[in-house]
Amino acid sequence: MKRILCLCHDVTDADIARAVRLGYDHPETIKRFTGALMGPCQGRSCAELVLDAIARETGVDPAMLRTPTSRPPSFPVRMALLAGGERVDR
Amino acid sequence: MAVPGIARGPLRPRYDAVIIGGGLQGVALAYELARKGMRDVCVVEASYPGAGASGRNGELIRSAFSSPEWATLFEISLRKWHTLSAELDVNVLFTPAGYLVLASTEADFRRCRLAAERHRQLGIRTDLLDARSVCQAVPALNPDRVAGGLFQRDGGFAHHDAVVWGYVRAAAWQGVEVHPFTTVTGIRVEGGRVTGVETTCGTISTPMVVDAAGGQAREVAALAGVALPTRTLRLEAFVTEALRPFLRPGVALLSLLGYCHQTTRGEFVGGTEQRIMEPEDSLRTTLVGLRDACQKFVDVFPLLAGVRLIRQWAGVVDLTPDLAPVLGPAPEVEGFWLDCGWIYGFMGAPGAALLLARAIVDGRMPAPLAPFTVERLYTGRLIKEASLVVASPESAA
Amino acid sequence: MSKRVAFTFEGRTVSAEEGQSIGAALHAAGVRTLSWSSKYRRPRGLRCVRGVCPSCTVRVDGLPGVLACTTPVRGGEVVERIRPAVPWFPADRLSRLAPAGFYYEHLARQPRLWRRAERLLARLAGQAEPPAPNAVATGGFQERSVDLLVVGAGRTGLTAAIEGARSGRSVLVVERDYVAGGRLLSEPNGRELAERLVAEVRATGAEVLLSAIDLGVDDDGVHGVVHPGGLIALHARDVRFATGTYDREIALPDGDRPGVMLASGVQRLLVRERVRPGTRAVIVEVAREGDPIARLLAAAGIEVVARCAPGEVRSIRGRPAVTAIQLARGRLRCDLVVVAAGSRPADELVRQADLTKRAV
Repeated sequence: MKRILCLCHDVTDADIARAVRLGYDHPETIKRFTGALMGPCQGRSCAELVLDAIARETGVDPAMLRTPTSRPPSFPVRMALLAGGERVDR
Repeated sequence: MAVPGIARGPLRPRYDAVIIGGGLQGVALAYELARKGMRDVCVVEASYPGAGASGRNGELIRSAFSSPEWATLFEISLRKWHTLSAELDVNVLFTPAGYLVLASTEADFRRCRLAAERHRQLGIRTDLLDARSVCQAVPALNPDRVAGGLFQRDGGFAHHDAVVWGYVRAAAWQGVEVHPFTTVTGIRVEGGRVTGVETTCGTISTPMVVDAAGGQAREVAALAGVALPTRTLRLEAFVTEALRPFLRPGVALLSLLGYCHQTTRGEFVGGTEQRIMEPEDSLRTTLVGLRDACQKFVDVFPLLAGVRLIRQWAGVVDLTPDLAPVLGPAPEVEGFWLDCGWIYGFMGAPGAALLLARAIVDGRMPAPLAPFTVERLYTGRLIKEASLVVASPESAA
Repeated sequence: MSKRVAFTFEGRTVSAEEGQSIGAALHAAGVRTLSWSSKYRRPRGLRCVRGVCPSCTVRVDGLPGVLACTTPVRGGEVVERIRPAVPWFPADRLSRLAPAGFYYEHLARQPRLWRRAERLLARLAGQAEPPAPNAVATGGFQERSVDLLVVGAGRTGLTAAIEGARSGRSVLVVERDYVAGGRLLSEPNGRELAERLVAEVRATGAEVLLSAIDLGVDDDGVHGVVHPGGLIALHARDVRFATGTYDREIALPDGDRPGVMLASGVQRLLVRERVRPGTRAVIVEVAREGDPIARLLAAAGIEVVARCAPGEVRSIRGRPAVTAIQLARGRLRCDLVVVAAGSRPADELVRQADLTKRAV
């Protein structure tokens, strides 16, 4: 029986608890250690769940945890759609 | 805490050495210093360890450079990479799948041929491959963009975060204190020697400071009154959705100024530079950079046309006039050492840390380090390295 | 009677109403498992029905990474599920051996073994085959300027566009969906209002781009707007983000299986796509967030067997799609579990725009 937090990479609540126990208790490092938030949904489905789990495990107020940085592209894009026009680097 | 091995208590009033910068250079050096018997080593890092270039780079590793200076240093580093996981007891996911420099034009191929000859002379094993062999080794390549290549079998890539974590933990075992979320605000210099470091978490007295602050190394050096003739460059990278394995070695696109590899999880990670790049220290990405990367990579790997790019990011590096790192003591300030100016800092860290620790503890510059001292930037004895997949300084605006 | 289109799904023909999504059509045809998760190969199906989660990722005409829930049926396409490599590998049952981050802790001292293991892991990672070369044509590129960029063509965005255009500004609306209207399209009488708003927008001369996204604003202040034809480098004097909300998630025991859906997704399926999400539903809710969907389900004749709090859920059973939910009070047969946990702003673009240059 599993509680999946990160659907993209199958990261469970047990995984977050374990990561925190090991010492990865910062949103950025737990992300890199477990792979949570790094899939195609970029945390859309899981960021809140993961941060809540970190807060629970570390006893920290969830409001103190900053969601890892949102970066472009806001949604996945097929690379050919970005390759048009004159070559940028002539 | 952020990562395992972080110091639990506050900064102590005094250390034998303070390393500014908790990236790969800083934590690797701390580990090597402790291994050589130095007690009371402290690393101060403004964010979490590896938050800078160490956590943003393209993860590629090679030692196939054309100059004896680069080849020697990076060969020492490459040898360490092959045994690093065992040494740190953390699997840094070093994958020696090989490093291919792709020649897309005849001019590229000539450069590769020259480089191959230099490698032979320097005792570095590389294979000069014709177009057909390259296409066989990497079927995903667009044959129209392949004129040949240069392959280093012993090269490859590793997981950039895991290496930082490994060094932090190994350093901690040796008694090193790594203090994250601690920003350096000043460096005390009295009578021409370092006496202490001021931080947001307190002041430390120390006779030795190492500037391993990567993209902020110039600012840190200025705190000690040392002027570094570097300029800051922003590099952009991207990652795609995961796919079944289609690319084994790491690949550098020689004249397209790009580099890439496919991770174990199946994601394609890459980045490109443009020939003309303004100095920039922003960590935000650009549409121009995104378009450049997509234009070049879709051209060279046509299957990427239909692949989803999911994230873009940037990192900054501090560049010296000859693109080689600055390693060694700063002559103006006694006790102030430099470990910065890297563009290939990720692959060079294990070797540089080992050698720099020897220089610091033994009081003698090991021969492989000697060409990289800061003096060369003033005397004009710049290192000429022809095998860099980066925009050359002359083309910088 | 709307026009019908058909596509091929793993050897069979599936019929759909024009304008329906591939995911909705498959659901109507009785298909529940649409994908298998990347690591443990757990079956997944329609969940958010908003293009937010990865659960419905399929391959269409050889192109992987297509979200079935937000991709309209074109007619004639070949749709396939993406099966993991080495499909018999029981990854879910062996999961104890491989928690997240496990590879950093093993084989540190056995580099040769690691090399072998690494190749095996890469094979088992089981992701989609890469698409064929040049499966997508290189897009076009334009540089454009506009007074007002509106991101989102729901009620808020369309209204902002009308106001902006009426005050004399040039307006571009960028909408991720293939139809404008946002949540209105999933409201019982919302479609007419949506169509009226769209007509009003068009009448003002403002442009609406569908199936388009704002990548974000880059360091030079340029918005990258991607649409099916390519990319626009857009200079916008002003931006309004009207991107609405996402449903909040709850991690329930085995709650990732097909048949577990988020409330607004159930609503979209039922109202907009005109597909019955299930026959017997259990609503797992926070506070009374389940009220709206409970009303809609009841009105559609779908039995809501129970409403409960997340803490009451012991497990969600299925084969693999949901067949029952085990609560503290007992086991209940159901084929639909609705997660109603409220919503949060869809604020990726706002947060991107807030970045300072040196932010990590």
